[in-house]
Amino acid sequence: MLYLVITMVITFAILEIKKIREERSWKDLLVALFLILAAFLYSIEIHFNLSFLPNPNRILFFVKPAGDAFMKLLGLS
Amino acid sequence: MAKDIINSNQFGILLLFLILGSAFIFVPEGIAGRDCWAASLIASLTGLYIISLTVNLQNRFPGLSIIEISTQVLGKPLGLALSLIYSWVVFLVGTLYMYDMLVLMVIIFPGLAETLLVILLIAASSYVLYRGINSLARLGEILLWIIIPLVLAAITVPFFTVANLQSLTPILASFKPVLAGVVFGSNWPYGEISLMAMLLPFVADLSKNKKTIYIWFFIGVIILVIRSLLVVAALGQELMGIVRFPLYEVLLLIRFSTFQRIELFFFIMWSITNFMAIILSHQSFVLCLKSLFSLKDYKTVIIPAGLCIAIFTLVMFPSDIEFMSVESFAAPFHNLPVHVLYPTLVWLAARFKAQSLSPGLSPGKQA
Repeated sequence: MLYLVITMVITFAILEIKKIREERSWKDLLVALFLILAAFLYSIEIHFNLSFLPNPNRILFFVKPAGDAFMKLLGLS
Repeated sequence: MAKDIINSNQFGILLLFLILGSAFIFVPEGIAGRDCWAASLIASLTGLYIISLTVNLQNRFPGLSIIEISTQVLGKPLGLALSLIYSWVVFLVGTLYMYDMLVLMVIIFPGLAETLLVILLIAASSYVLYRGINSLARLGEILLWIIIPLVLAAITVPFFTVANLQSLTPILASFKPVLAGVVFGSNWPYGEISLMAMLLPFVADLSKNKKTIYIWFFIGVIILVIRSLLVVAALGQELMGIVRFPLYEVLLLIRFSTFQRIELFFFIMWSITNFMAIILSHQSFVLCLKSLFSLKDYKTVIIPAGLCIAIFTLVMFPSDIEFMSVESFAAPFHNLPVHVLYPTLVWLAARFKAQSLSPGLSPGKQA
């Protein structure tokens, strides 16, 4: 898992870093690094079977009661 | 710049790929039982509403993305806040498409490593996006010639071999399941059409040929309605409700003399349409990031955004049992309000702003 992520990051560096330096688009680099960091941290979690980061799917669990209530209302639960 | 311009016909074809890629093999309105075809037909009005709203908005603000329009007409704080929610939903839809592809692939090839597959898919998707939106549109035009015969075969062959039309009766016996089916279908696939709003600024002839977009949309709707009819006629509503990929199960039933595994002929159709849906969601998410953070070039974030879609698919949906019991039921109530309300609010704000500025003078004309 980690090796694949690292391969993708190296590909990104080869394709983009020179262009970013020439165009001085530091904001683009900052956004890209933030996304890479998020992907890297979560891939560490998967690779080592850890659970130290919040799972974004919790947001879907918050709205599940609305789904349940809708199904109950229609008598389909 | 020329390679980032497409025409309405190409946009319409990409729209068809999004509709087919996200929902052709499934029956999202399956909760409606034997009337799922009616639910699919009614739910398509949501898609029609979103397309007409976003096309109208785009004609008023040519060249601007819906996120840029929202910050202009709603003000920066509110526009950015709503756009952030919209971008999150675009990202979530991308992970859902990736997960669907993953589950299908693992069912057909049980020994496949999920991690390797998501990275390979994202690497291929990133390559297409690096070639530019025009290349993506041309790819859609070429692949259409492969997909259309396969789609026609997938919906006609079972009709003459395994379908039992009596399973479709009684028609519309109860409205409650249909209503539930309409809600689920309105979100997936029709609500997800809101993703395509990010590609509209690249359509050069939108004001002249917008009718083409609606034609491709209606072709998609007709295919999905026939798909729903076919699945109920072949499997019956009970079996349809419990299987993961209803159309795949229908094609498994087909037998021609000694020929077996005919469903694998259609594998190319599923992989191409699903892959195109993944590319389109990846493209939309990248364009969302560009507009949100005012980036110079969207290509800088193609690989990082793709990497996030790949990794978060594995993190967010660790098991299919949890996915079917929680995420698939909760997603319509999380995503649908954003798919419908975000373009509606932006459109209303744009309309009020145009009226308050000067009657008869649209912001697009001022620019």
